[in-house]
Amino acid sequence: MYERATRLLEAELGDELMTLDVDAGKCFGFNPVAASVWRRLDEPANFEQLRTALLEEYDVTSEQCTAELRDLMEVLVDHGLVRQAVGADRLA
Amino acid sequence: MADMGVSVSAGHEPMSVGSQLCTQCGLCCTGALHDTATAEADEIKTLRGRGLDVITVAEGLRFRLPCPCLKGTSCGIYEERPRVCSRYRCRLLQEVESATVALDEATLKVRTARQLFENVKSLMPAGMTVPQARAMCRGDQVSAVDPHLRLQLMALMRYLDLHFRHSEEGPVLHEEVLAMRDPKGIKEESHQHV
Repeated sequence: MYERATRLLEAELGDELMTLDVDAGKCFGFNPVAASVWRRLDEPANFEQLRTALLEEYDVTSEQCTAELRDLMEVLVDHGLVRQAVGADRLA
Repeated sequence: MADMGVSVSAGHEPMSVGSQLCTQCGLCCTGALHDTATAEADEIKTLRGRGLDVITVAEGLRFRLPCPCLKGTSCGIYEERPRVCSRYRCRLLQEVESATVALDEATLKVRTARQLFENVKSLMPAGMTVPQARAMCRGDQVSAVDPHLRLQLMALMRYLDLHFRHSEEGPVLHEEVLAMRDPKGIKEESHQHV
């Protein structure tokens, strides 16, 4: 299960999202897909829930969606924006 | 700022697409796109007489932006504007002139950019300019910048990078943005427009 690990100030930019992690002092630009994932993490969600939502939203193959979502979640976790709850499901 | 190809006596003639776009925008004069603009040696006296702050930097003669001759979104000294202003065309204007982007679409982008600019202005302390705010965000003073101002400034810079600045100019505040774009994001072109 993934959940947001920090609170970001957000500015809508069309499909994109510009955010600022005030505590870390860093700005993050989210492309439309990353913005969609971030918005869905308003409530905790597991990898499969996120993947299913993206498959419904985007015209993308299951394999591509899985691979790119995995990369994106790693980036989000690496930057401290998202964390995995203890005992959470692992990356697909 | 761009040469809009309108003669002095053309007041009752249809405006060029450039005129229609630029007179609603004026962002290139505000310092939102650039900190300074090129000046030429034989212009110094005239520019200073108009209140422009001409400086010498490593790249040569420049004048600081925002331009004090900007009135609303139009040039107050259009017939006597600096040569660089006659030459300059932002990416969006070039795209409209080459019919790559329709005027209506470009106008919407100008409106969005103007709104983002107004958001930034509303958060800046009195007397501060966009180049000054940008300089603070680039330097050691970044922690002293109001987080809301910083965020809105980043949003404006991002939008200008996407639609107004030429790609060879590079992003204005590149080091500040961690863009989660390809290959980390699913490609935009696969988006279903529903």
